[in-house]
Amino acid sequence: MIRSAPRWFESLAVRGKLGAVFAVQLALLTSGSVAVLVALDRMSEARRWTEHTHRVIEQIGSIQAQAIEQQSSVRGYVITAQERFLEPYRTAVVEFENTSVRLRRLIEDNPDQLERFARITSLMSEWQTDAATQNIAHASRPETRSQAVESVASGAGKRRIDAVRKLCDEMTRVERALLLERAAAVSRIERVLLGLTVGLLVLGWITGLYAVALINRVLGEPLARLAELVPRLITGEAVDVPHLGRRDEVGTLAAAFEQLRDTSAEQRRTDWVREQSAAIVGALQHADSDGSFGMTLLSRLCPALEAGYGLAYRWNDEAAQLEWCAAYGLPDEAARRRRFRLGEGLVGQSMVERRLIQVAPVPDGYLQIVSGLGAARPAAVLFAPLTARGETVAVLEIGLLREASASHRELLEQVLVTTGLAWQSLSRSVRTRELLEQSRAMTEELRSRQETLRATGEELRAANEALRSRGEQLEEQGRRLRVSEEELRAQAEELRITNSALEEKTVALHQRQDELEAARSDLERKASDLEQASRYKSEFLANMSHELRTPLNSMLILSKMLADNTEGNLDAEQVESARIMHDSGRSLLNLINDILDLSKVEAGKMAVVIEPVKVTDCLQSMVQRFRPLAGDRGLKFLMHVEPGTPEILHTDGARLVQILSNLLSNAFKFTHTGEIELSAFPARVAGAAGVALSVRDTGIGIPTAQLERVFQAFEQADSSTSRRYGGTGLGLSIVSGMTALLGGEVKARSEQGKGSTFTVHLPVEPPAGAGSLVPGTPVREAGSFAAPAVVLRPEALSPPGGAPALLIVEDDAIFARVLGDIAARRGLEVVVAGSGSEALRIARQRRLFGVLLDIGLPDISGWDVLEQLKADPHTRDVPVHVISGDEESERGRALGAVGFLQKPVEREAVLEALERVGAGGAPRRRRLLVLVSDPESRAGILAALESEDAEIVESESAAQALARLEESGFDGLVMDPDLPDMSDLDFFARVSETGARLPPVVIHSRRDLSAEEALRLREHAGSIVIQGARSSERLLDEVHLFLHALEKPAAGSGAAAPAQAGAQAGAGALAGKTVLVVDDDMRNVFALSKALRSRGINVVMAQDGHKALAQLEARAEGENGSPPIDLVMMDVMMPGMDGYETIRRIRAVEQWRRLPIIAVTAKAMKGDREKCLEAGANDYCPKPIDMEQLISLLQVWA
Amino acid sequence: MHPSDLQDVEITLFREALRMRHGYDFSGYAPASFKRRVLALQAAVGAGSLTQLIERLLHEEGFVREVIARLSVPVSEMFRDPRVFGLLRSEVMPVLATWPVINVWQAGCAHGEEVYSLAIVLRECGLYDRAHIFATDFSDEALTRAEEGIYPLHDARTYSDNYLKAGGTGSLSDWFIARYQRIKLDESLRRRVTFANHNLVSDGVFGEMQLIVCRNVLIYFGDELQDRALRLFRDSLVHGGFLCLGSKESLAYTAVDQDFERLAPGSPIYRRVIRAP
Amino acid sequence: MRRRRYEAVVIAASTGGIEALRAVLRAVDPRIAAPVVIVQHTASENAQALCDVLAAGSAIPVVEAESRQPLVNGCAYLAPPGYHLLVEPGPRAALSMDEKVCHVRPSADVLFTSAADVWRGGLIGIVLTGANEDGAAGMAAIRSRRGLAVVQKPEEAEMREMPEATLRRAGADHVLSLQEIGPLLNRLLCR
Repeated sequence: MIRSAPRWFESLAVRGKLGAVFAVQLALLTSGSVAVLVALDRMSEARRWTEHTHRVIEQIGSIQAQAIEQQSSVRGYVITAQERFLEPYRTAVVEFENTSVRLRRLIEDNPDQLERFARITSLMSEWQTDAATQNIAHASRPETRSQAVESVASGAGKRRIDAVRKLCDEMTRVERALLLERAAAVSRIERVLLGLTVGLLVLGWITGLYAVALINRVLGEPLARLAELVPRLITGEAVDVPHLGRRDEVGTLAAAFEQLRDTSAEQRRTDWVREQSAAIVGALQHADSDGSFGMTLLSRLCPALEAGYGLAYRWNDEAAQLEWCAAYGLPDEAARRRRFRLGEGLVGQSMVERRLIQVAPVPDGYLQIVSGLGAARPAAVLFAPLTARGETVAVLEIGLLREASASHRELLEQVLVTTGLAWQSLSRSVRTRELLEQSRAMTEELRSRQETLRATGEELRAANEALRSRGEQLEEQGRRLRVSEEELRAQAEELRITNSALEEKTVALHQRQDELEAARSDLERKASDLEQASRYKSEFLANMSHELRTPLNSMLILSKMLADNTEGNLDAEQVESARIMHDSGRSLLNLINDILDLSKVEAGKMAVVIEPVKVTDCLQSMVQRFRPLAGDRGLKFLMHVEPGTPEILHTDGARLVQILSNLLSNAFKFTHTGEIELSAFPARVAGAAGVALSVRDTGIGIPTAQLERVFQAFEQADSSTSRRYGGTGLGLSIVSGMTALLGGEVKARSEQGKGSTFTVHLPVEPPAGAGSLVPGTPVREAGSFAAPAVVLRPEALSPPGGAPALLIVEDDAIFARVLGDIAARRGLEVVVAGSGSEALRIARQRRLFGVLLDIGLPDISGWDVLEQLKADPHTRDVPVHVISGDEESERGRALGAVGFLQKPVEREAVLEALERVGAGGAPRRRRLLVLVSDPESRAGILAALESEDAEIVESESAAQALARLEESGFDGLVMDPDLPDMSDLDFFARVSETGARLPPVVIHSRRDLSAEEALRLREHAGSIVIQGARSSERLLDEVHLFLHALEKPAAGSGAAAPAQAGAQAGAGALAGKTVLVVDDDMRNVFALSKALRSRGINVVMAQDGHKALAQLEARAEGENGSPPIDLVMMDVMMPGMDGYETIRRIRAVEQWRRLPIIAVTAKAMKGDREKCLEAGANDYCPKPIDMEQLISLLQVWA
Repeated sequence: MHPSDLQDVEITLFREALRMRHGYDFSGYAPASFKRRVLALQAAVGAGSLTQLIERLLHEEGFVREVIARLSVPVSEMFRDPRVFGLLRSEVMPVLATWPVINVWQAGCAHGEEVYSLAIVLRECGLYDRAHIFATDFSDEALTRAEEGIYPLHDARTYSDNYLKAGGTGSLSDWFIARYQRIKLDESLRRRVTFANHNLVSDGVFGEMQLIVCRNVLIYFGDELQDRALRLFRDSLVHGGFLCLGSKESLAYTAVDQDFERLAPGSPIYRRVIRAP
Repeated sequence: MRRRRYEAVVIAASTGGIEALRAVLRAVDPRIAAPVVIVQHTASENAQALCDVLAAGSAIPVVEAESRQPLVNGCAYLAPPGYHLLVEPGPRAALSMDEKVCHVRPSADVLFTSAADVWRGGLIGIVLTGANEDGAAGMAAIRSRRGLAVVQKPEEAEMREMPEATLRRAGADHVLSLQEIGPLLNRLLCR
């Protein structure tokens, strides 16, 4: 249709095009509509005019009507003179006014009409004024009515109204004429309108079609063509885009397409580049060395760049030059060796400039790109430096067949950067791998070198020490060589002399032995014939001793209770006498025991229990027991076990101990100076293997004449000795009897004045017969000679099942009452039975917590009672303690007794028995008194003692504590030395004054105590704890120790044995003396002072040499009335100035030259005693101190 | 008879001579090491044979002093087994602080190296002024050497190394002055130390102790003698006192095993404990 | 002459000894009727570490010798560093802090001579690699008691001085390589 649109149209924007086309349409449409509108307007105008005209007509009508109305109403009035006619007249006038106003407004635009109207109005007004109003006025008055009628009749007024009417008709006619005219105008407009719309319609169609066609051609085709381009663009074809020039949308679209084509081309290219470089980088990952890296780089890059050949030069930092490292497609080897310095050649240049250099027209002389078919000169050569973080890593030289395309360049740029980095990191990782390799190698080598180093170090050390010492040796050897020659000669001579002396000695030894043999044999002969004589004697003795034992028993306990003076009602004298009574009773008891033993042995009644005994242990315990005595006597006490002596002896351990202790006590009794040796060596006894136990002493010895008789009972060497040395003289006979019992024999060797040796030979295995009881008549229990036993009436039986009671089964009424008294004082429920049957009866009725059972009962034996008690289910677990005259503990224990006591019984033993029987059910809960003023530290102590199962009583002040102590007994006292209301010394003094028993004390001090304070406190306190980090742990330890009534370790060994009963005759003589005790071991000081004070000796303490001298000086002048020192006991080993030095210092002062000093030392070496005497001591007492021996020393020197 | 067996005979005679003449009883010593020490003595005094030793021992005045010096154990080191001294410093000293007076007994002090080590530890823990240290040995020669407190410079290096490993707070050089290839320990360290002769074989308890150190002495004793010495230590120690032995010594299988409890597993330090009956 | 029955083995080693001892202990038969007492010169304080090293791979247990410890058949005892190890009647171990012998403690001479006194003819002494003459005098004592002397081939030892010194001073009944020592012991000591 339309071939080519007008140029301007084409270039219109789509909107423009569309705008133009539609504008035409719109224009048409609008002109059409305008026309229509005009027509319509005209029509409405016309209609308006018609309507106007109608309205005018209407108004004119109404004016006409109103005028007539007026006329008629006046007439009416006039005629009828009725007011009602006036009404319409008035309204008509008003309406006439309104309508005339409206009419005037309506016809204002039509001058003729206006004029006509004006005439109407003037007529009307005239009418009104002269006709109407007059008539009305006349009509209103009757008189004038006639006048009004006449006026009306005269029709003056009628002429005016008819004029008005005519005018109105004229106006209406004019109006109608106008009306017709307007109607004609309207119909003309309608015709025009019709024509217009039809024309418009047709024209609209034409332009619409034209527009469509135009648009289609202008837009449709190109868009279609463009649209069809899109797929080809996407596939990347390089198409040329049509309609580029057009400036409209299509043009832009075309431009956009073109752009799209370019960008997609660009995109494709970058994709290609990225893909290529990614491929390259991917490939490069696997490269592990510069060469392979270069190779893979080139092998990937060159094909991508369609390069002919490629060369890679690696930058070598050390050599500061580019070295060839890979090539691609190189025809010959020549170029390979090229090295380029910085800036040298194009390669170097590109390196310097750090940018791509392209040599487009390749000058000749460059390498040909060679292939099988031919060779060609590269179109361009590219030099690309690979950089990383600013420094160049390598340079690529690539020969291109054709000039590098943009994408190629770009790829190259891209590759340069990434591979640069990759290459650098590769070379760096290669580098680190090399370094790692190196370092591992080095550490390997280091370790091995270290290993060898240590070994060689060891040897070096050894070697240089060897050198050092060899140097010294050489120097010394030279010196000694000269000396030794002399000595050698002298020694040879001496050796000869010693040999001959030795021979002589052995000969003398043999002679002595023969003599002894002879003496022994005749001794044996004599002994056997005496044997028979004494057997009968011992029979009698065995029985008699029982009789003595029972009354002695009570006497012992009562005297002990008196001595203890528990009620305190005895004065010192009476206590003293009670004690002496008790002691003498005890010695009497010992005598009886000895007699009993002897008689039993001789009567063959002694029971022997064979058990394995370890020789060394037995000797060790002997040493342990007699060492203190040796110490007292200043005797050397040795023990020697000959190698090869049998270890184990099958014999009666108890008897062996008794034998040895008898021998040893005799040895000690008869020895003043020198030593005592207890030794064991192998021997043959009656053909079998045996052990010889010998006790050798350097005592007064026994004249050979009396040697035989010494084993006879009641026979001491001479009567004077018994007076001087005490003892029953039965010891040796007991020994010989018992040894015989054990299947052994006793030998004695002695030289008067030199010493004697008693040897007991015992077989290892007891011969069959030994130990069997010689079937003597069993000695009836004491009961058989029962003194008329006062049968104690059994106390009123308390209701069965009453409080658990202690049952005492004892036929001896006195002893029973004594036991009952002791138990009662401990607050125990007691019931006594005099015979076995009675005991069983009570046991069945009463609940018992314990039984003290005597064996010797009148009706049935104690053993039977025990058996029945154990058999009866509800008394089986009642603990039974057996008390018997006879020594049959084994049998008791076998039958289930918890303990065994041999009459006569010590008071303590009874208490212990009660304890053993568990008097009063569960052991009494321990009670602890804590005397600490400071509340905070008291809380600390309570916390520390929490875990101890004891009832803790607190008190702030000393007074409060004293009251508590008097109220009830305590098992322990924890005390702070700094008391608010009293010094610690006064407190202890007050306690002893009130007679309350002072329990074991632990001092807990918050401040450091001086040595003096510690000494003063240690007199009363078992131990002292200074508050500190670890003090609560130790406090608990100490409290636990004395709460469980353990005997203090220190008390046993170091300190003197506490006041031992025994030989105290003459103690009284020392009373009143003053003794200075100098020792740094607090345990010794207090034990010693307690023992001495108990004998009335006044004790002064000093902790070291200086303080001792100070004490002596203070008391020399008898200052402050204190008595002078009568005797000094000086410990040797003390800190600072030792005993020797102090004694020398004392002896140096003239005044104390005669002062008796006894040295107390733990050293038992040979020369030690001499050292004390040399230092000036008068005598010597070994530690641990034995009281008995000490007293005898005091008597000697005080 | 094999020369070595002959030596045994001579040694027995030598031991008897020593005992009878001078009262030193070596019968309880471990036989093997005693034999070595006697042979070392013989070599040292250049006696042709052991019998010559006997002769000189019996007749030559003053010879016994040298014999005892050589038979007693001379080899010792300051802060030997640093780990043990570390334990002494960290575990034992705080408990010792709870006693008003602290008695320390170092049995077998040889040339005094360990006595001075103990003195230094006490000084650095602030307990020196209320402590008494008894350094005893049965060789008078050793005691005089110990009292001098002079040691070869060559050893000072190992001593200060041990000191630091034992947790020393200062430097060992604070405590000695070095001159002519020797070091002399500070006089003040001796102020509370008493050097006394005491023979573990025969002598008894001479005082109440809070800490007893006896290291590498018991290894030279036979079983009986070791038990005797240990009973001696047990009876000297207060309840809760400490006993420190050599690192290779232990109370297992000894007579006093029940009276002590070990401070820490593997450590040679024990605490005196009295068990309820 | 009653068949000489050997009752004990003593071994001395210094530099290179650890490997040598491991080789010997590996080859030994656990049922051998003899204790094996070893002196190995070492500068380390921790004996337990040395025991563990030797025990690993060894046929018989290796323990550190303690004072008074009885020496039991089929067990190896190692001298604790810093102490001489002696054998006293029992037979049992005894330690001592006496002066260094051949400038080293523990010393093989001390062990060998004291062991010879106890086991007399029933003792086998072995001297392995080392760079000093410790053990030579000891081996002389063993041979004087007619015990058996075994020395590692000097040329095969890592350090030839110690075996050579022993050969010079006391000679040897067998000069063997490490591999042959184990079988020899099994032959002599296993019933």
